[in-house]
Amino acid sequence: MELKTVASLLGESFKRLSPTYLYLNPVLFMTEISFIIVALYMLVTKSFSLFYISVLSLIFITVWFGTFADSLAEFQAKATAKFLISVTQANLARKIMNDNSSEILIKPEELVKGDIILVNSGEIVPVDGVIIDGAAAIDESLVSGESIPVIKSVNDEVVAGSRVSSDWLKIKVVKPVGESYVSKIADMIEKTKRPKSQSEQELNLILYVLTAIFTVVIIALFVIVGALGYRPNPAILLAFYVCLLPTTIGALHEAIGISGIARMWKIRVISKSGRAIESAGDVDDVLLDKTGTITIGRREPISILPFNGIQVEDVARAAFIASLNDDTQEGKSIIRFLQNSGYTPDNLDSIITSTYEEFSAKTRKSGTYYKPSTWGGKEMRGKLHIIRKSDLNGIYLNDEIPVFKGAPDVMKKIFSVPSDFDKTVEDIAKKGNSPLIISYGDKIIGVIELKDIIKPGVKTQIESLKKMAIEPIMVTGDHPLTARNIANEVSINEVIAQAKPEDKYKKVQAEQDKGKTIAMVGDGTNDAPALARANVGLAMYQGTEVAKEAANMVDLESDPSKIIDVIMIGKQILITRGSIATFSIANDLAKYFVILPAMLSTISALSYLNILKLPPHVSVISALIYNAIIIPALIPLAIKGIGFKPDNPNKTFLKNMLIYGLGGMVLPFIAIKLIGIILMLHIVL
Amino acid sequence: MISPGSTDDLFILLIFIILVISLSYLLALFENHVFFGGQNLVNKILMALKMYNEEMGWGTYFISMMLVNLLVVIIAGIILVTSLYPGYHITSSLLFNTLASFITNTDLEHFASEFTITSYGEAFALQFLEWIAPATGLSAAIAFIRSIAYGKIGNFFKDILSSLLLVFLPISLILSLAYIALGVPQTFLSIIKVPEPLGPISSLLPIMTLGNNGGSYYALGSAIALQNPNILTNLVESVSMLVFPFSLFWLFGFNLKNKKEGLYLLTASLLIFLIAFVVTMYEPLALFPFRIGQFNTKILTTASIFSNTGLLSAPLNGLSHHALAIYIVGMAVAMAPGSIGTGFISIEVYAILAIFFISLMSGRMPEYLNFKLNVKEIRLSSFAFLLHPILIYAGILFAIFILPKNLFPYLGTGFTQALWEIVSAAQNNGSDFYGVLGNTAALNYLTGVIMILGRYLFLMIGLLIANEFINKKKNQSTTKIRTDTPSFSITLVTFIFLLVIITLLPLLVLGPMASW
Repeated sequence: MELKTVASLLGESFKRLSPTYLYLNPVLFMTEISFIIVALYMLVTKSFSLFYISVLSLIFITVWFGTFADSLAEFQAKATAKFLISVTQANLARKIMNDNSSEILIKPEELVKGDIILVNSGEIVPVDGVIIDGAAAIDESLVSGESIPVIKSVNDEVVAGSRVSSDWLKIKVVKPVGESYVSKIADMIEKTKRPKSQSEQELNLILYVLTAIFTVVIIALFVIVGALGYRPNPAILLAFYVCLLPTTIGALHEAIGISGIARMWKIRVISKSGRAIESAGDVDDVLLDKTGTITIGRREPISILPFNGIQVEDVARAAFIASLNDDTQEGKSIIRFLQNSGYTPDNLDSIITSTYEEFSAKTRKSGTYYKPSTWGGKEMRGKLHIIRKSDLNGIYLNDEIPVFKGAPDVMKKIFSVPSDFDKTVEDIAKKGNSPLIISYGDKIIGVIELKDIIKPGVKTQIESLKKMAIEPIMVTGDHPLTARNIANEVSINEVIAQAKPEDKYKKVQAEQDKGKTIAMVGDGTNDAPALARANVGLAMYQGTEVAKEAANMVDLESDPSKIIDVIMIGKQILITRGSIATFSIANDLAKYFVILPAMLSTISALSYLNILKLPPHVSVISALIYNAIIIPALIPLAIKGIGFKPDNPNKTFLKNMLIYGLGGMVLPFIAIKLIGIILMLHIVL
Repeated sequence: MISPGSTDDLFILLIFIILVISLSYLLALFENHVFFGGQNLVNKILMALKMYNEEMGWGTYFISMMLVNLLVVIIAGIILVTSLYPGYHITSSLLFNTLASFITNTDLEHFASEFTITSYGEAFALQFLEWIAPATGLSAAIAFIRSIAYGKIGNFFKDILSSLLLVFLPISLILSLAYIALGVPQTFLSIIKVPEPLGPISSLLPIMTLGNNGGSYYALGSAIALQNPNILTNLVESVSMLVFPFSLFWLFGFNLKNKKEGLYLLTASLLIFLIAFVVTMYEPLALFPFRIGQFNTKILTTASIFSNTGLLSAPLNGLSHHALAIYIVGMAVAMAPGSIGTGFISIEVYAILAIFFISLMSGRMPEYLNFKLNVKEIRLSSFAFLLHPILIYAGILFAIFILPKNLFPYLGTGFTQALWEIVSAAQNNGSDFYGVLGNTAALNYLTGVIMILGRYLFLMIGLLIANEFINKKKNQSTTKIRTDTPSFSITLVTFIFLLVIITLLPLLVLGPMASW
C-alpha cells in the first residue's frame, strides 16, 4: 500500500474514535468510556505511575485497534471496488442540451434519467445507459475483466465504468449515478447506509446484552467490595471491565461484514444486499442450468442419422440450410462439423439471403425459410426429391421452404413424424447425447446427434455442494434420458428435463413452500420472475436488463457456475462471525482467573485463585496486553475469512468449536502467562 | 455414618436415577394424554360452566395467568391473616413476602409456620398456593411445547384446571396414602406437640415436592422425623422433586414426534445434575439427620436445590464451602432440571442462544427444530438470560445496605449467606440460611419483589418466545443443525457452563470461594 493510503487509513481510524461514531458499537463505546473514567481518576488522584499510564494506554489502544480494523476493512473493500467508483466520478460528463447543438460539462452526479451525454474515444462512460446514436468498440475490462472489446451500437446497453475505445457514442441515461451498480457498491461499504444483515443484528443484540451484564457486574463489584471494607482500585476494576467485555468480536464485527462483501467483489459478483449474501450461505437447493454451468456453452455434433428412406447428404444439406444464419456457438459448430464432413452445398448465397428464425426458449427450435433461386433439384446435390413444389403439402408459402432444427418434443408436434422417430431419439438419449431433429418442408427427415461436453471440475464442485447438505437441481430443455445421463455423470440426483421458462419459477415456489432456501442463476427476461422469487438470484451481466433488475446478485463475468463460489463465501462469513464471537466469549473464562485475584489481591483468602502466579500489577497489564493484541492478531482471519473445506455442517461446527471454543478457553491462560513472564523479565532486568 | 462409595449408598443412587428417569417418562406419557390427547374431562366442565375455552393469544394467556394468581393470592392472604395463632401478628412486609413467596413457587419462609399458623391456615392458605404455583408453571411449559409443536398457545383455564384436577390431584392423593403408610402424620389437631406439633403433613408433602414448592409446615423441613421419618420417605421425596421437571423434556420430544429431541435435552440436564452430585458426594456434611444418613441427605439436598424446590433435610451451614459454591451455581443454572415449567423454559432459552453460535459455526443461519430463528427470538432469549443475573447483582447491592447488622455480608460466610438468599429468591428456590432472622421489613420487600420479577417476567418472556414459533413455517428438509445428538447435549452444557460462570463468578469468589 502506498504511503498516502496508509496515512489516510490511520487518519480515518483516529477519526472514528469520536463518540458520535463509536456509540453504534456498544462494546467499543463502553471501552472508550472506561478510558475516560480512568483518565479522570488519574487526574483527580494524581497517580501517574508507570502502571496507571500503561493501563490507560492499553485501554486506548484496544479501542483504537477496533476502529483501525473497521477502517482497514473499509479501505480494502473500497480498493477492490475502486476500479468502478473513482473511475466513473473522476471526470466531468458531457451533456448534450435539448437544442441538440450545445454541450455542457457537468458532474456525473448531476445527470438525471433521460439526459443525453456524449462519450468520446478514450473516455469512460459515467452512468448506465442505452446508446441512441453512434457505434463504437467498448472496453469493459474495468467492469467485467473482459479484455476483448465488444462493438455496440444503437439500442445496446452500456454500463458505467466501461471505456469507449473508438469513435463516439451518444448515450441516454437510464440509471443516474445514485442508482447504478457503482453506487450500490459504495452504499454497501458506507457504515451508516449499510443495512445490517440478520446475523449481524442478532450478534449485535447479544453483544449489547453481554455489555449490559458486565457493566452491572463492575458497578456492583465496585460498590460491594467497597462496602465490605476493601478499597477497590478503579483503574484495576476498569481494566477488568475492559477485559471482560467481548472486545475481540466487538472490534472485528464490522470488519467481518465489510470484508465479506469485498470478497464477493473480488470474484466480480455485485450483491445488492447483505441479506442476499447471508441467504447464499444458507441455501438448501440450487437450480443449475445444464448449459453453461454443467456443460460448456455449446454441444458438439458427432453424427448425422437420416430417417427411413432419406439420404445422409439430404439431412446434411438441410442442417446446413437451417444453421448457416445461426449466430450461436452451437450453430457455428454444426456448420464446422458439416464442412469438415464434406457437406458444403453450392447455394450458399440463397441460404444467406433467406429469412432466419432465431432460437427462443418458448419455441425451442430455429431455422430458415429457405428461398431457393431455382427449383427442380439442380441446386441440391443428391436425391432430395421433396424439393418439387407439389411435394410440399400446404407448408409452402411465398416460395419459401421451412427448414428447421429443434428439440424432439416440439418438432414432432409440428412436422410429420417418421416411423423410427421415437426409437432413434431414445437410442441417442440413452447414450446421454442430445438429438437435434432436422425438418425439411413438412417432414422430419433426420437427426444430428449432439454431444454435451461437461465442464472440467464440475463434478467435484457438485460433490462439495452435496457434502454441505445442499441439493443441486439440474434444469435443461433436453430429453429426459439425455438429462438423466448427464446428471448421473456429475452426481446430480434431481433433474428438471424439457424445461420451459415457467418450470424454474414453479420449482422455486415449490421449494420455498416447503420452507427451503433456494438459489438460482439466470440471464434471460423469462428468468426474471424466478430470479426475483428465489432467495438468491444470480443474474449474468451479459443477460437482459430485466433479469439483472430482478436478481439480487449480478455476476460481471457472466459465469453461471459462480453461484457455487457465492455460496462458499456466504458460508464463510457466517462461520467467521460465529467462531470469532465464540472465541471472544470463551476468552472471558481465563481472564477472570487472571484479573480477579489481582483486583482482590489484598484479600489473602483469595490468593489461591492466582493460578498463573503473577504479581497483581503484572497480571492486569498482561491481561490488557493480551486483550489488545488479540485484535490485530485476528484481523487477517476476520478479513480473509476462516478457511473451511466443504463438509457436513456438523463436522464443520465441531472443528470450529474445538479450535475457537475450547481453544478460546485455553489460549489466554498460556498467552497471558507468557506475556507476564516477559514483563517480569523486563522489570527484573 | 456411611461413607460415599459403600455399596448400599451406590445402590440407592442407582435406584434413585432409574426411578427418576423411568417415572418421569411414564409421567410424560400421562401428561401427553391429558394435555395433547384431545378433549378431556376439563373441557366438558368448562363447557358446562360456559367458561371461556377458546384458543388464546399469548397476551390473553399471560393476563389470565396473572389474574388467577392474583385472585388466589388475595383469597390466601385473607385466610392466612385469619388463621394465625392468638397473640401472633403478621407484619405487612411479612405478609407480602410470604404471599409473593408461595405464589411464585419459591416458598421462602422468614417465619416458622408451625408456631405461627394453625394447621387450617397452613392447609387452606399456604398449601392452596402450593397447588396453584406449580399448576401455573406446568401450564406455561405446556403452552410453550404446544406453540412449537402445534402452532398454538392454548387456553390457560383449560391448562391450569387440567394440571390441578387431572394431574396433580390424583398423583398427590396416591402419594399421600403412601406417606401415611410410611409413617408421616396427617391430622389437623396441631395442639399435640411431639416435640413439634403434628399437622396435615401427608397431604402437604406430595404437592410440596412434586410441585417443586418446598414450603413445609416445619421450619426445619425434612430434617424433622415427622416429615421425613426414614430412608424410604427420603427417597420418595427426592424422586418426587425431579419427576415433573424431567417429564417435560420427554413430553417435548413426544410432541415433536422425535423422542431424541427430549432425550438429549434431558441428557444435558441430567449430566449437570450428576456431575454436581458426584462432586458433592465427597464433600463432608457436618449436620444431617442420623436416621437418614449423610449420603441420602445429600441426595435429597441436591435434588431439592437443583430442582429449585428449596426443601431441606439438613441445615445449609452444614455444607462445605465447595458444596455451597456448586449449589449456588445449580440454583442459578435453573435447568438441571430446574423447577416445573421454568426449568424447561430455561433450557429452551439456553438452547436458542447456544444454537445461534452453533449454527453460525456450521455455516448456517440460526435454525432450531427446522424453524429459522429471527432477530426477535434472539432478542427475547437474550433478555430472558439477562433477567436473573441483573436481579441477582441488583439484589445483592441492595442487600448489602439493608441487611441487619448481625447478618452483614462479610467476605466469605456472611456474603455467601446473603448471596444464597438473593439467588434463591431470583430463581424461586426458597431455601435460605436466615429463616426467622430474615424477617425484617426491608429484606421482606426486597426478596418479595425479586421473587415476583424473577418468575413472572421470566414466564412472560417465555410466552413471548413461544408466540414467535406460532406462525413460523417449517423447513421440510432435514435439519442441518441437529439438536437430537449427544454432541448437542455436550455443546449445550459447555455453553451453559460458560455463560453462567462468566456472569456469576465474581459473586462466588466473594462468597463461598473465599473460604476455600
